[in-house]
Amino acid sequence: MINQTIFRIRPGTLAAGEARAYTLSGSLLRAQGAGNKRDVVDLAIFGGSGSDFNSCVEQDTPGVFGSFPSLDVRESWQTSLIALEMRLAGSSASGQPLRRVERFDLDNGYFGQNSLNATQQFCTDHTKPVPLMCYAFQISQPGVNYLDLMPSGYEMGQRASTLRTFTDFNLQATRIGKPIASYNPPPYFMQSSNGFADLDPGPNGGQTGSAFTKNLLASPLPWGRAPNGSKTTVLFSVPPQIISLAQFQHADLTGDEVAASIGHQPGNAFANSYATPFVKRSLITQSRFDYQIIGSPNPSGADHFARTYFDISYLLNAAIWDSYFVSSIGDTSASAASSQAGEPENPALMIYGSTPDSTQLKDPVACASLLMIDGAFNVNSTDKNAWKAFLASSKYLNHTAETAASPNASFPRSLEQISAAKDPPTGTGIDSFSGYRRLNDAELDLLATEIVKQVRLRGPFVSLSHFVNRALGDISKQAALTRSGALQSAIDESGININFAGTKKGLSGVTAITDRVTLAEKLNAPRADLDGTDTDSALPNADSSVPDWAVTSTDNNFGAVASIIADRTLLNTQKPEQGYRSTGIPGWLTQADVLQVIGPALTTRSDTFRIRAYGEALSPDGKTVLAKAWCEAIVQRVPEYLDPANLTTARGAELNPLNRTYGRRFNIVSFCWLSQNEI
Amino acid sequence: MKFDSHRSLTTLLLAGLALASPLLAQRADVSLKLDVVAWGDEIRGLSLKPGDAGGITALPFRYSEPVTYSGPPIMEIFRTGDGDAKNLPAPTADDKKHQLHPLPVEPANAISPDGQPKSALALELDKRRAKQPSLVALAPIPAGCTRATVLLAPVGNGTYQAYVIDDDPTKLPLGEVRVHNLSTYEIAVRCNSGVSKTLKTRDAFVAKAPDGYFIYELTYLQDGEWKYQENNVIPIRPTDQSQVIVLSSDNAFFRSGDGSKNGFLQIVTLRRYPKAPPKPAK
Repeated sequence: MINQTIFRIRPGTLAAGEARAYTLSGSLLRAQGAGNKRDVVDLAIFGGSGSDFNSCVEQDTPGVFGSFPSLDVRESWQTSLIALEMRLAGSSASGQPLRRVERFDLDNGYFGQNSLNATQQFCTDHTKPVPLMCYAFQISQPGVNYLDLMPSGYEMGQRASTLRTFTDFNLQATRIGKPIASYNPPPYFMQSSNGFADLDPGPNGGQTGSAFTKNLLASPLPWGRAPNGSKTTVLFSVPPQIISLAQFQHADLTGDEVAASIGHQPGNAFANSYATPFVKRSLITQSRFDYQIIGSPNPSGADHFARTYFDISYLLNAAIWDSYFVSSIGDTSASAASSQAGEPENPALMIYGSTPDSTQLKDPVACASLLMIDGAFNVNSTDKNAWKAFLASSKYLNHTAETAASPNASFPRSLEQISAAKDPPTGTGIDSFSGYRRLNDAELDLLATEIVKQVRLRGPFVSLSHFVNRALGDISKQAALTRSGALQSAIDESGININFAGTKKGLSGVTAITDRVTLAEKLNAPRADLDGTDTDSALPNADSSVPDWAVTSTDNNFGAVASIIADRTLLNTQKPEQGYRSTGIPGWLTQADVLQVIGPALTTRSDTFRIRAYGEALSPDGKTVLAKAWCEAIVQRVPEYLDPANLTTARGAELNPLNRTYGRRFNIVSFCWLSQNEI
Repeated sequence: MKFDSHRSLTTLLLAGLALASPLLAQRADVSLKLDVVAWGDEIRGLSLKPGDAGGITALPFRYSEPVTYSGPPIMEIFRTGDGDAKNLPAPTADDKKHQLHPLPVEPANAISPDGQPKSALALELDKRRAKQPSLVALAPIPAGCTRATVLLAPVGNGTYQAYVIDDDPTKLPLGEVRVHNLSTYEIAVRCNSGVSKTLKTRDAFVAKAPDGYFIYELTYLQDGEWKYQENNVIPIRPTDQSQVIVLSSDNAFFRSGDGSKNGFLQIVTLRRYPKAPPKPAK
């Protein structure tokens, strides 16, 4: 009926943070047999009349029925797929969309419960359009009990009802698709309704029923589960100033061999380290298969296409952390108003040596030789108090969302968060969706303790990416090490969020048991999102030893979001490794949040060393110690090479033999003689 | 006190009816028009006089044909078989579950001969049924009521408990909407972007429907935590008497063909049209 129909929203303006619903602005009567004809239907902003079902697409049926018709929404062979696309006004159809979601599946199979057996009286009374089925899709939200919207016997996890929406998926993606054998594109949860209470057509037809208008008019659904929760969440921002690498967690750096900006990679990819479910823990890339049902004339056919899945966080961290830094050099132009013009905006960075000219400071290679960190922190430290003091450096930090400085350490997702932090945080309310996290002294202590544990467990770290990234390994043997990086594991195990075991939590309104992600298997295959007893016409798997399609369904609906999980033990013996649904909400402290604050000062190697030397003067026969001396020198590695013949920016073959051997110069910062009792 | 999430309307009626019964017995006869609504599966074969053919059918959660009643203020409702039903569908497991929800703790103020705590009206029903086995419910009609909705909730032993809503037009003007909370949960309803109203079980209030639309946001209190259910818009015609009833039910009326529920709480909109409504869809 709606084949080749395009529903079009006319160009308009959508303010940041605004949600708006649209519905058909008028009716369209399609001629019989016009299924391949492209029709365009304009949409209008959803208003009170959104329940008017006279504005709809109708298929003309001039035939005369000998018996009363049975109306249904089933498809005989293949799925009914709807794609959503939003693009800039005036852009071409082949151009880059702003957002494309493909494809929502509107097929409920074959079964008779989808049918409306119209009686003569019904046909007489209902001369206007009547609804048969309503499909609704919403971002899978932590805290929502989707069992209230699914058939009895279902379990949380089906239909994408439990996912790490804010961590494993990219809510700022341009392209959101159906990975592996997902029935619908995650992280969207699907609800279908055809009950009379939902689809009351009114006395004569022409009404949509309440299911069509639910949650579309009064206001957007609140994020989280709090009834007075935030109608706005701030997940990503374009920082007005960048002083820390980890601020690039807001940049959409997702992509693969098919497209950039994709939905099945983390929206906050950089600086985070949670293992993606799409790739085995032992890997950072994995070739898998996406499936597409091919339908008629084969009722059980499906094609599969090889696609490489990436642990994009791992790759980004490995590529960036040890190769780049943020100089935070302000505007060096003569017209710059700031008194700090030409100075690093990060106060922890200091210009080395005589004041360089602005050209050097703006040179991406040269500037590194002109800046030094004042108080760098070695991540290999196992001193809890040192870590605690370091983490506490953001205490009393002002945030625009708060009216007064807090004594708790601040780790905001962004400077654009619009609500204040709470102590304790709710995990469900405004503070956790449009606000951010602060840590009190007790939490700082717990975090420092856990960091030291992780350093001892995983260190020494030979690079920052080693510290930031998770370990690679067999999940059956190294589950904890491969779950997330040292810092994230420390955060979680401290109970600031929820620990792995679910025994410690810092979010007052969240319970571990209801927050767990619970994708499941059935009969050794991912459980269908529309599960039932049908086992006929099973769909072919690319690798029969690792089935992606479900083996039971309502009726040929073998799609399963659980197929996204690469390490299949997560579907049975290691279910807790799927994590928590609240992971990554702004109130869930991530390592990227912490690294935004402390990242610029982190190092894995010290540049300043204390060297002590001991010497003896012996008698001529060499048997008697005539004198002893102890000394101490503080030496600091500086950008210049030992031989100043090479510029500080020289690399590799550009260096002369002396510098190639000895590298950078060490300056003696201080020297003193020591007495024996000072040793 | 915690409540079971599946308590039905039947559980709400005992106390009120128990108190009303002795008083109503002393009042003069009443005359009114009313609609009988099944608060569960469809009920056929109902009548308001003993020995009648049972031509009244109470449809689940919606109006059918209105009927006229004249008689004592405690209206007797009878049931004779399944009326004119030819192929009455067997109740689903969900329907049975709905009908047999355990009763919540209620201040039953009387004890039946078999030692069971009951309301006075329930005891009166038992007493009258001993003489008239086809009597299945007693409905106390409010004084002065000229129009009413009678909800019949099954209690599992072939009888029903009635909940009578006074629909006198002076109490529920046309074009407005009355919101009832017949769930066992405390709810909060924010109407037309106004101030949120909190409703305990059996509370009700009348709201306007500006421009013909009643817009609501519904939250409920569960285990000490307020939870958001939904927002929606309900068209309200100026010629109709409309009631929005919030309840918790597993009945098939609220389920889709695949068995899906439509939310933690359910919403029923009862509309009384100026003329007799058309027969509903099958």
